[in-house]
Amino acid sequence: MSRIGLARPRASARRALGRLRGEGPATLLLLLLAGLGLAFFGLPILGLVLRVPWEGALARLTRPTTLDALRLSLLASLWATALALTFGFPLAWLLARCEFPGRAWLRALVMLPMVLPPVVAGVALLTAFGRRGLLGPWLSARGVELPFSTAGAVLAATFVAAPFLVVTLEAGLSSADWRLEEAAASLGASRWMILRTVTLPALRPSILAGAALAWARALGEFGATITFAGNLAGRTRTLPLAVFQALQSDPDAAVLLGALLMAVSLAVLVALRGQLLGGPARG
Amino acid sequence: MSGRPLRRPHPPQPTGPAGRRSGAFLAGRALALVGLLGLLAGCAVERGLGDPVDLRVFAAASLTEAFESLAPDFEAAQPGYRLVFNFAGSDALATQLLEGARADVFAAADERQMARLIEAQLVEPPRTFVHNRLALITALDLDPPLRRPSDLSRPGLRLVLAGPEVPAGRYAREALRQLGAWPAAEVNLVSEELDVKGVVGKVLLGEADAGMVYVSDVTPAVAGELSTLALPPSVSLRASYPAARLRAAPEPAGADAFLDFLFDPQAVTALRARGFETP
Repeated sequence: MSRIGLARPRASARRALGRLRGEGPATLLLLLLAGLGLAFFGLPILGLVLRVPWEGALARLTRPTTLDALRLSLLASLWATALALTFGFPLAWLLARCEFPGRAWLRALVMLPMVLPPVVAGVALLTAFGRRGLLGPWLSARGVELPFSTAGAVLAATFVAAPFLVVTLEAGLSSADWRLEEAAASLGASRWMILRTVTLPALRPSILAGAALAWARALGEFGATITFAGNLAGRTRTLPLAVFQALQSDPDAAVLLGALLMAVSLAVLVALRGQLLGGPARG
Repeated sequence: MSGRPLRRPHPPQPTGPAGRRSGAFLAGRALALVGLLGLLAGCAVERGLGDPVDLRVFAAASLTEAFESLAPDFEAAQPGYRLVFNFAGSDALATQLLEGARADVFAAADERQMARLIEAQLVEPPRTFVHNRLALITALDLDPPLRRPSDLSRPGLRLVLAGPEVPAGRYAREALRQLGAWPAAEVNLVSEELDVKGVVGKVLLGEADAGMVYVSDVTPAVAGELSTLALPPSVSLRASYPAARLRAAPEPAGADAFLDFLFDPQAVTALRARGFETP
């Protein structure tokens, strides 16, 4: 079985059923566990959706504070994705295509924000870009103050989200067939031309998948943001912060905002399902 | 709410005879493994006869140091119990309890949050065990230093408060209003923290210039790293901390013992030493 054919669900379902008859309890056990896993993921989502207070939903969603949070979330997550692409692509290329000592360490460093507790990521950002951070005096001499600013929220989101893009792109770059690039070079194409006409088109699925993952992570970012950028309506209060805050005073609004956040993320993940499932194109 | 005990020893799970076919064998082994893991998990929390029972106390973030320092005394006096704390903003705790979180005691930094639980009939009548006053804290290297409350609205100053839903945030705004510094200082508000400890953290880290917290938050551990300005006596505001046993408390006797302990002279002395006022 080279690929799980999800493109034609009916055919694959029939095939799966056919296979079931032939196989024993091991398959049944797998299916049972998969079902339990699905219930584990599905139930909380279902719970949230069932709790959504549809009455007055529109009025709640169009409150200025909600719109502010939504605007900030989209702004911060899109900027974070753009920054992740700008710096993540060269990083992924470096990791995938260049042999150098310490590459494994560099890769671990780049992936670290994925496993760091986000609050720690926020503190780390403060120690670098905060007022008393490594670059703090240099930045403030130039009038740049990142903590408590929207730029700070973008930075926090970029820090935690970019590794998802780098990891996906690196996998794509490693599995892409570099001989195509060599062939193009042998035909006299410039490096820039090769990048534009050979490398990037082959990487399209990885770029899309990586960008989607990074964007989704940035959209949900909470801990690094509150630690590094604080929580102020219209400036740094993104949707996840607004959800947390609403949970204390207006739980209905929190559920509604949570559902909104979920709907937006789900829409993007579904739109990109082909790229996410297919993974990087193989040579 | 079921009266099921929290921990029950897992009886050994009999595993069926292994199937003849490889699939069945694999499934049997997997089931056995799952059962074994369940047993291990059971063992991990299983307790012997003499071990203390967990007593779950949901307490306002501002009580963190005080309650943690009281814990050994309580556990020495009541060896049958081990205190397990959940510290957060009182509003967050109230929400958790309203959503069905299981706890024995709720100690809030404000009567409003307790009122939410009283209204939902989740708690027994509460008792107020401490009061807390507010203090203005600033970074040590703040230049020029803060001299009067109106300085809070000077251009470029970064002020951090707890959010208006959090008791500390509500009290802080009210105190600033009584000082004549609010809403003028609102232009300098750069962040609304989720609980009062967040305010202390932002000032300690030097990212914020000033914040309003409880007197008890200026603990010995941080007192040397902050400047503290006590509010003038004209500010009459003080926070009241009610504590109550949850109606569904798994350990009602322990909860009552803890609540009584809060009024014990030993505890009262410790709470006063931490900056609280006792009734």
